[in-house]
Amino acid sequence: MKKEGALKIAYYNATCRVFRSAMMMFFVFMMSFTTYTFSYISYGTQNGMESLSKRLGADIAVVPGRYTYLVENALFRGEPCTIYFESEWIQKIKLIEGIEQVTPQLFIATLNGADCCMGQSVQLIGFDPVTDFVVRPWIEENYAGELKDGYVYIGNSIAYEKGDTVTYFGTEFKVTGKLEKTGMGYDKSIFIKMDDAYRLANSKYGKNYLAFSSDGNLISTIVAKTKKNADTADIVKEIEEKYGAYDVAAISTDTFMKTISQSINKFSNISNITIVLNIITSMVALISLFSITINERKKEFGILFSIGADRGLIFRTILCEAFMITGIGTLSGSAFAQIILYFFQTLIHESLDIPYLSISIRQNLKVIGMVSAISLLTGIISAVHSTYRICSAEACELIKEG
Amino acid sequence: MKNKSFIGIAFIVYALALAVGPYTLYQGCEKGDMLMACHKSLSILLGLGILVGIIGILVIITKLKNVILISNIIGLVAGVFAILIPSVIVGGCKMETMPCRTTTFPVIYVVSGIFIVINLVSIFFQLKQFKGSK
Repeated sequence: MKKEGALKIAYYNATCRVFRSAMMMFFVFMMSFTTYTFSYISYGTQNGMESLSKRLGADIAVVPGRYTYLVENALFRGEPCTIYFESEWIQKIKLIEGIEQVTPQLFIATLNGADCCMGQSVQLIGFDPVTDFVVRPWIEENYAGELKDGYVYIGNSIAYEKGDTVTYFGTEFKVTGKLEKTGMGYDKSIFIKMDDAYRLANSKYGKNYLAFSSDGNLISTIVAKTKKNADTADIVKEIEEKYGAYDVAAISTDTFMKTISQSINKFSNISNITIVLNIITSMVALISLFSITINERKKEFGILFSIGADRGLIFRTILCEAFMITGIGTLSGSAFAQIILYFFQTLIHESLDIPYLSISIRQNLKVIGMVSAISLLTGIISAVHSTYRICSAEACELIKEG
Repeated sequence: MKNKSFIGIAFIVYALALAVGPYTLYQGCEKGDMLMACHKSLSILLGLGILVGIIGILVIITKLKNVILISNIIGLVAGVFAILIPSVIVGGCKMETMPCRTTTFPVIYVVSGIFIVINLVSIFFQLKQFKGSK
């Protein structure tokens, strides 16, 4: 008999027992779906972490002490906030030993559904184009030239496009461009020049709704870069010791990153445990199903042996059946996971509460390869285990037992 | 008979997913003073859901010839429209983090996709059966 014979027999076996084949496919489907989904999200969180470390661009952030959590929420989750303290702190922080560069930022939350502000509440981040070293390098990766007065850059999750006009606190701004996705709060932020932020705060609506005076002496955070050999932890300690009593807090971006990294590690551990448990469960289920089916078909194999079929044909038949079932299960499981992840990616990002960035095609192919390898291996192990028992018995023995 | 019940139940489940789900399990954006695009989409989907539900009941109770094939074609069109209404024809909120865009519409897309596949498979078998009986 030829090799095609095995494939044909396997096809008939699979299609004649639709329910059994469907059950086996379902186990492989579930295994592929879970492995694909968790691996995809794990990669996504790693990408988010990389993007975060690339985009933070500073070593220390100095903020009003009681609002530290608001700055963290704005940066990581894009939850808009309006916070401020005196700009005189810029000079004081600059004088601390080990600080190389400082730049202020102003955080203003727009109003949700108000007449003076368009759409949902977003975070306006005012930056000083002269001293800035955090936002500008990032913008320059995508857009050349200076940001003009009355123009803004918008985060990737905000629905407006280049050339659109947006109105906040009754002040109109033109969208210069949309920034690339970062997987952090910047995606839901709008970047404006510090002068424009003050102009907006000075407007009729700004004066009514914003709690601070707008004479240009207020800022929300001072981001600082330390000198090459300076110890960031020591500088943070110094700032807190010197100015902590004035409700000024310093956050090291390393501490930020460490906290996020711990959350990502926790998630990765949970996802790895889930994947392993799922693989074990599916493997046990597949081996059991194969064993039960092969046991039921002893007579069939015994007859095949007695009419001259060799053990190789039986092995190939069962292996082909396993390949068919695991192949279809893997493909459908991975495809369904991809559809779910595509449609629910924003929900996943929002629910995770950690930076998340969709994976690249290369990473996606890697995940598909891994899922296929695991599923096919599971199928082969199940098939080999069952075939070994059949092939080691004699034809008459199999017919008798069947 | 078995097929008829399955198709009828599939229609009723899909009708519930369109008409009841967006107001209970996977709620859309809160209704404010302004009528947002997503509310318009969900209102149309509610109407579509009621229509699909009525067809589902008819499939189960009537004994008309070719009722499954006709309902499958209607179901196919309804599924395509249920995807097109929130994505192209009416749309939803602009901000991608709004509940309608993170939860409600994605659920409708996935459920509609599954419903379309069920109808396509059923049409295929109906036509095969139809050809066989000839």
